[in-house]
Amino acid sequence: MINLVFYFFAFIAIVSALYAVSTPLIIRSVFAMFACFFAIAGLLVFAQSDFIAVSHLMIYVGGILVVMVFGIMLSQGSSLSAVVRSNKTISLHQYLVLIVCVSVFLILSYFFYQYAPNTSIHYEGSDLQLIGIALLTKYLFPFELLSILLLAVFIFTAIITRKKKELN
Amino acid sequence: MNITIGHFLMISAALFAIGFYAALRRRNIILVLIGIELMVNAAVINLVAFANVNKNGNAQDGKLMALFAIVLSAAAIALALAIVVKVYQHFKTINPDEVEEFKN
Repeated sequence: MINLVFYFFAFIAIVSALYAVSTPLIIRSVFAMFACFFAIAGLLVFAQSDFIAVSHLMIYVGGILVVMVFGIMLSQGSSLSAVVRSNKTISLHQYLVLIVCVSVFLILSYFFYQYAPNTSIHYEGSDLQLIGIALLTKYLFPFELLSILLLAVFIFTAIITRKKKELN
Repeated sequence: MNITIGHFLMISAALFAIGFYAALRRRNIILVLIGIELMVNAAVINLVAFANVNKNGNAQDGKLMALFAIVLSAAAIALALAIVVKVYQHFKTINPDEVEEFKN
């Protein structure tokens, strides 16, 4: 029964990712990524890391996808229904990319199938306490460094997008 | 049949290939960013799955690495979207094949 839920999450993740990269409308691909990120968070719960799953959900679904929707609205908001361009002609470039990606998947899955350790994973309880202790003892420096980096990113993003007249 | 690490690795291989396809196909800058996000997610699934291998000692290393990777990719995507907005204001398009001055 629990395996069924796992395969359901895996199916949702892969199918919605495929739909996101293949649909001609860009806004539909962003909304397909919502489903994909929810399913990936479910998979992370199956890998015994529920704190990572919750933070993944908050950062990706609550942060990145909303920012992407804003980016689409600011960059092509007037043409949301007219993005379907000349997609009928499949060029040589697309064939080459498809071949490269299928071969990447085959090579990766061959190596994973060959060399993956046969450790079975089952849920054993929350990891929140261990992660909190590790973040404030062993990983304190990268943790603080990340906060400074995020502050710098905030400031630079505001500067880049705000001052149009001065920068041009 | 138990869920093993191989299951997670297969899913992450599929997600990585899909993200690679989206990043290489280069139809739209936002789709390229989505492809990069998918590849980062594949790496995060791998890290979290391998965090379960070595139970003795500190088993939280892989999970914290995954957490840092998530935060770094969020920062990268925020900066990239700001650049996308600026590119649109300058070139009036965000198709990377039509932004000609990038190629020179």
